[in-house]
Amino acid sequence: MSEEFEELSFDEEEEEIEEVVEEEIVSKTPSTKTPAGKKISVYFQSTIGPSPKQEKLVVATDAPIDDIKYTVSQIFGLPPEEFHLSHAGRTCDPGDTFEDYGVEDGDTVLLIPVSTAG
Amino acid sequence: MNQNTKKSDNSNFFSEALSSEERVRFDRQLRLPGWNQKALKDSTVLIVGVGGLGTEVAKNLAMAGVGVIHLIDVDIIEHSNLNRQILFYDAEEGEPKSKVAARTLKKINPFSKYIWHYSNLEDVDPEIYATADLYIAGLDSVTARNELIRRAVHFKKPMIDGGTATYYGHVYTYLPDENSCLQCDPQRERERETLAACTLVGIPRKRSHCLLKGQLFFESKHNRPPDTTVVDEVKIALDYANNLVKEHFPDSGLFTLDEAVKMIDQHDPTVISINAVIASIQTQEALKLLHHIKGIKLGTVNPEYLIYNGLVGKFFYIEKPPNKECHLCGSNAPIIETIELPETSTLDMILPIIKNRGYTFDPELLPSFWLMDRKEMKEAKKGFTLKEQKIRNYETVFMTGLSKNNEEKDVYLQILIKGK
Repeated sequence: MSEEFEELSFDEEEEEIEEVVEEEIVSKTPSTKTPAGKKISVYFQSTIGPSPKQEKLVVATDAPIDDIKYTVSQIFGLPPEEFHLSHAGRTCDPGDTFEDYGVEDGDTVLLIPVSTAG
Repeated sequence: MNQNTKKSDNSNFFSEALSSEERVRFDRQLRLPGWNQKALKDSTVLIVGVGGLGTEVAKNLAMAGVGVIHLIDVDIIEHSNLNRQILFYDAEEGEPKSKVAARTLKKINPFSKYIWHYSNLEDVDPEIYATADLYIAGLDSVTARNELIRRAVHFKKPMIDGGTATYYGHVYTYLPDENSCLQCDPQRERERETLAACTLVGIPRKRSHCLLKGQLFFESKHNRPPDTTVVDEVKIALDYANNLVKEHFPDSGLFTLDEAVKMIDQHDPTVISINAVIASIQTQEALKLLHHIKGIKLGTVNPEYLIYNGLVGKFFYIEKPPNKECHLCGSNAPIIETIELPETSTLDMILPIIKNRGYTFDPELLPSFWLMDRKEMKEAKKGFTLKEQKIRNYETVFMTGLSKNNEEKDVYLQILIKGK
């Protein structure tokens, strides 16, 4: 039963993509172009918390980082306001997406402390 | 060159820069391989923020024998500082932190000079930033760190930043032209729980809103926030909050008395152990750098962002490559133009000088000048002299409305006052 449902939803998606291609028939964009929201595997590694942790998670590259942070906070059991996500030395802004920081499949994203007190 | 003076300069034990008392005091560290006590004595360090980190770094650098230490802080002492700020042990509540720090340091090591500034970092004389060897940040806000990093980038000074959060901390040393400045990867202020006025009447969306509403309930009755030292007052807010929790978040636990206190009276939690670890790392990086600045080899400064997790006793390191598009140190940054003028010159006279350096501007819409090295940035008047506008030696003036090679270009003028 469930397989049928899945197939149904796939059909719908394909139809949508075809429609877009028809509309933009003059464009040179190949029909195989990856749709927005590519899914990648990312290793989330905490530097904070009472025990170091690493989790491999599949994320959409166009998901708001604020959403990812919230989900990660649930998985790691850490309040979202206590950490930033950091990729390749750049601190990710909650309003951006992983795409904006060039996060790729297999990359590591760190949970770093918001250590601004003096 | 007199060979004898050169010999004694290289010797720690016979350095003419040290008195016999200093030689005894510093004896054990004079024995350190690669150490040079005279280099430290000839050094000037700026400590910006004399709190949990600043006091510890100041104590360490003073004990190590750094010659001149500037202490900058806008704050006064509160008794809640005493769990971690050793320099204030005998102070009265309300005394300026920088002043008391200087007083205690003089007792700890009378052979160094301590100059205190009870002031915003923005209002401190720019010449002090221009002539110090390096800056140490013990600040508690991102805004203040951003002010300090601008001075570090413009004067090409290393800045050793530190910060803490509960059982964690970081140290990051900005090394000019080597790693990223703080604006390459802008830091963000900590998000704090506040209740927007619009959510005041509605049902609480988050569990934490219940506690904020409890506080507001107390305020509506007494026209002031609850006194967190009075348990009955905290309980009024707490009971109100927990009734809301029972109603709207039945699956989550109730708030405790301590949680209520922390929410009503919001302060960053800190403890001496974490402060001491972070401050000691800042100090050790500073001591190496001061040797390097004087041309003496001593180890290597860590160019990476270091994180310390005191809950697991581990360090983590993050590489920080410079951001080529950084608006402070990258290709998008305004150009720095140094201009030396007598203090009797008007700003108007800068226009032909800047023209000679290849800049153009619309004669109908003349460039404007902005005084930046102040707490409140303000526009400078072209028709008045530097002296009349109290523009100081090494002051940075932001200039807009210029073009170079048909491209709009903003410029930072670094004003040098002739004869100063």
